[in-house]
Amino acid sequence: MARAIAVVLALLTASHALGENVLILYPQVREPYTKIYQDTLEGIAEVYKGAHTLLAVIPGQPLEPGVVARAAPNLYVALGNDAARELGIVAPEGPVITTANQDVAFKVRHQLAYYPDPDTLLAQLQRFQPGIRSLSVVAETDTNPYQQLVRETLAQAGIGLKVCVAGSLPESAVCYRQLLDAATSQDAIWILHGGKLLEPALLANILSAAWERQLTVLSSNPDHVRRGALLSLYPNNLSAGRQLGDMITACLAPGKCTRSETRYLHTMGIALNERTSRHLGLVISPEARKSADLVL
Amino acid sequence: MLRWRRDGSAWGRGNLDARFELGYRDMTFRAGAQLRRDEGSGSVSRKPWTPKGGVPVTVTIPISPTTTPNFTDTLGLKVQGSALFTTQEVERNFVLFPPGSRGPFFTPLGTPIFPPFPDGLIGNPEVFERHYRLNSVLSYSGFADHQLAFGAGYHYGEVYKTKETKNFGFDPTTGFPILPGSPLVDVSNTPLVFLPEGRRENTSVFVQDIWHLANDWELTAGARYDHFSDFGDTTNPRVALVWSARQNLTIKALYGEAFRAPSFAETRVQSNPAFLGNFSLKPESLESTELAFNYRPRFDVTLDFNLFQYTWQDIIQFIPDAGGGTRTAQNSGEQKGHGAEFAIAWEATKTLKLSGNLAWQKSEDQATHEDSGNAPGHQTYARADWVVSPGWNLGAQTNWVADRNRVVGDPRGKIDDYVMTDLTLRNTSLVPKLEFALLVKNLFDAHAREPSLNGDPVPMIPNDLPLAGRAAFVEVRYTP
Repeated sequence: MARAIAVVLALLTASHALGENVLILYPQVREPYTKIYQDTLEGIAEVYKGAHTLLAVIPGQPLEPGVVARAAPNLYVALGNDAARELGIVAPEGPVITTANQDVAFKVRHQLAYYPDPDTLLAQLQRFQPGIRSLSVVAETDTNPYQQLVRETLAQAGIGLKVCVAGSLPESAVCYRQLLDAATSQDAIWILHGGKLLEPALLANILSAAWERQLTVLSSNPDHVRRGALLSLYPNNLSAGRQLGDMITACLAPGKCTRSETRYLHTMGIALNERTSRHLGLVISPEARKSADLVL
Repeated sequence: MLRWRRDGSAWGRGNLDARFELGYRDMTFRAGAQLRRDEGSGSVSRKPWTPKGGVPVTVTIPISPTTTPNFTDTLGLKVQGSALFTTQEVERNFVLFPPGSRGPFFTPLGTPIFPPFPDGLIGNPEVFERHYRLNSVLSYSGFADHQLAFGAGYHYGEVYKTKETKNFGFDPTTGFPILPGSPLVDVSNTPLVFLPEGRRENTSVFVQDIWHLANDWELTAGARYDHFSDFGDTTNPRVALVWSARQNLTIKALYGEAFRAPSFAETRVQSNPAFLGNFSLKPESLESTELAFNYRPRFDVTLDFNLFQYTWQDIIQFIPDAGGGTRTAQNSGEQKGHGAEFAIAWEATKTLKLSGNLAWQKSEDQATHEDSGNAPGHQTYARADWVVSPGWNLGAQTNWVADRNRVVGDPRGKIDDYVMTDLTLRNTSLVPKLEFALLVKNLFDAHAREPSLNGDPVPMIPNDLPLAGRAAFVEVRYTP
């Protein structure tokens, strides 16, 4: 069969006898990216013990509809954009649980977005910078539902969210300059979005200016912590897998999974730069330090 | 992990590494075995080009369980125990001096004592050792600006068996010299064996504090006390002051004292035609200061610059004995030196990493106030690692060693500089769990030599120690 599709494993359990089967699609990618999906699948398996079939999808190669049909699932899980895109072609009805951030049309789509759940974000902010009064972010739009949710959650704790809208890299640079100029020691800059709004020279300028003015920088990328950002909240794939396992279990309950919804990561990986925390004069409690996955 | 490497060079070698690791909660258990088979080296004490080289086989078995429980958020403990069993055994005769040689046996007037040894001088020393270690570190971070660490350690080392056959020296049965042409005589378990059995115990304690003086300043201070059962005590402090001067610049000033305990061989070797141990040796001591700069002008570039100076005292050297061809280990002399190092690491692209360093140093023998010799005054190293395609990596490194002077009194000329280049092609994608590598050492077949010791009246190995010429290896690694 020219279409390279690998059915890796099918587990039969008592629940399968009751007609419960989940088809989990994941992209077949090269090292070192393989580990992302290995960890995610491991997390799912820790929580969801029911019957499931794993299907590896080669990016750019279409799914064989017969293979999907033979699995006869009553729930799909699509990890990553490639798997979601191919599944969207052969099984747009769903229901599907996906981690894809691209907009693939499913009739019922439960998305796990790889951003920190607003409550998790607030808890970590208060843990590592207890006196914080405002969080500033550069984004393509100010009407993003996630940002709205973050704004509402932070507001309950008396913390403001400032969004500077930028559609290009030059606009993003202007935004960061304005935010840095206006920030005080009780504010933090949050590098939430990379992509076209960030490049290495801009990141270097942000971190250099933040150091000179003793401002806190948070990021979604642990690599930025190596370069001087105080803190990074980044996806932990094993934890994300466990959360997906919970979502699968919930979705299989009768009457559930009938409406689309989006959830955010409850457990994040934490990277902390102690050199920067000392420069900022922050007192990191032993408990907070211990909670970090990576301390530099 | 199992690793086997067969060397295709003129000095045939075979290495076998096997490692095992098991983790459970806070505990890690590691065990392994190494086999080193070195055909034709004979370089333990003599000429590496000996035509009838011996085959020393070294077997090492380390076992090291570790546990790191955290009692509270502020209190942690790390305990590590290890056991190491190692032997060096000889499979075929180990030729110290080639056939026809008279060995190092001359009268003070230079007259040979013996006629030529038709089979050369043969000595087959075998050593069996065991080492047990227990180390613990207790850390406490409950004070706002301090991180404290306390440690204690114990080491028991023992040469529990030595064996030797030889065709020179004295016959322990008759008490007479073993004459040229005699068969090998077993001197194991006699006072004439090359290394008497023995043991050493070392207990140590240390304390260290990392003190955050101010926002960008950190002072680390510590001291370690060691007690050795065979030569007494030593205490060594260290201090480091670290300043985060800018977001991309860190400056460190360091001071430290260190020691090196004499090895079993340096204290105990006897009945050897070239080198003799000395029971009254003290440890060598080293006192060093360093100023270090770490600067990252860009995210993909790291620069390091270090300035250092040191004083090295009670250096253990094998000093020629008066009126004989032997040398005895002694704490002899003092050496002072200073130098600078510069290193750069650059991630040129996502698939290409370049790195390199330059080092310059000058060392002076305090007895003669001349260059201490043998060490390179300049050294330059460059390396490139390129991911050619997924699973395929190509690496190249080159090392330039220059400006090596002789020690005072050595009649030979300056040691030649050399440039040595290695190439490695590695694949991790052809077969799952298997890694293949093709390594070419000394790609351009440079004629490189390391300095041999000076001797009286002339060096025993006058033309220095040649490094291996061009050699190719195939390496296969299997990781279950």
